[in-house]
Amino acid sequence: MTHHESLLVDAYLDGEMSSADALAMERHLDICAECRRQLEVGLALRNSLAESAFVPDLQSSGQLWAAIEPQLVSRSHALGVAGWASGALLAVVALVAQTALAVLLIFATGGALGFPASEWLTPLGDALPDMGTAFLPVPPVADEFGYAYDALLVGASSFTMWLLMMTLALSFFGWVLAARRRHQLAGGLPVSLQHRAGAHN
Amino acid sequence: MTGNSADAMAASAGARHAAELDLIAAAQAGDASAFRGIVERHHRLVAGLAYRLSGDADLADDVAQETFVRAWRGLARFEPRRPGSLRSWLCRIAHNLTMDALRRRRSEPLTSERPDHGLSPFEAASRSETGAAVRQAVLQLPDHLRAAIVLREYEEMSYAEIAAVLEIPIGTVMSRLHSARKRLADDLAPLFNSGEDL
Repeated sequence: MTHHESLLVDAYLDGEMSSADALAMERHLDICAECRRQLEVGLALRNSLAESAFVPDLQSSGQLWAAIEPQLVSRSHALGVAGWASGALLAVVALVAQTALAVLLIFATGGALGFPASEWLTPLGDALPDMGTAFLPVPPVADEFGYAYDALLVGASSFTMWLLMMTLALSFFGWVLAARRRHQLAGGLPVSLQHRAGAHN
Repeated sequence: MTGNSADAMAASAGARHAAELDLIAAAQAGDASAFRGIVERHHRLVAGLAYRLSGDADLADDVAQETFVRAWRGLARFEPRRPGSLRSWLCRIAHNLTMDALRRRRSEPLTSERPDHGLSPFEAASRSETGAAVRQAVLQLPDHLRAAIVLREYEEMSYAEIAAVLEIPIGTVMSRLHSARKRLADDLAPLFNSGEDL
């Protein structure tokens, strides 16, 4: 018997043949002892496997649900916390970036007063004679360009403030979505009312 | 089977599928009670599959829990294309989780060692010597052969369903089933020869 014929006997055993193919297989089984033997072994094996089909006392669906339900709710809660945490982190990053940018620009240009950094930081003047050119490609005469950098500073500040407000808004939006999800998980009742519903049940 | 009874069975299967689609849609919208309905419908299948693949009831309980938690998380992306899709999807998650767990503790041989406490006479009879030998032979099969034979013989899945669960072609399903049966027949030959009902 070829491997292909063996697979066909299995397909017959498993009811995976069309009616026409099954009839052809039955005619073949009448004349082929080897295929008949494979079918008999397959049937005997199936009976034995059915005898071993017992599954011990696993969790009931109620026990299973009791175990997984808190994980579903806590995941939603975790999403809310994660939303707030990521929003707060972004806000901190935005603030740090804004401060760093402002300090950098002040040092580089001498700020709105138009003083070079070496003069603005008088005590350190000798130690830091060329701070402006060290940080940015600022021309030696800073006051010609000071106002342009001030404008850039104002623009950067506005952008970071806008970024801060957006992150806070998105964070709040995430919290609202998480609260809505918790509400649905609780079967339609707001979380704050669940204990009251429990008291009535 | 008469034409009427076949029609009635088809109508019943259609109604079950429609009800399941409703449950899936509601659960996808975040309705936890609908998801509980899904858990109640399929928990025996999922836990039973994990037990038969591992021979470990505690692991089967853990896998069942994790399967449904993951299903909840992935439900938004699930598309029930045809009847039985959900069953196949849950079995695929349970199968993968069970195999991962078995790989992590591969040093221990697989045995079915759950204590027989609280068994009814019927259950005790089913854990007969022959049944235990067959279970042990199944657990000794390589993972890929055991999965195929368990899905076919215990869960009574079609070749197409097994292919969907294991994510392999139908031809590979047939080949694995044949190899599994051949190995089981060889391993259980002593029972054949001793005249037990195999």
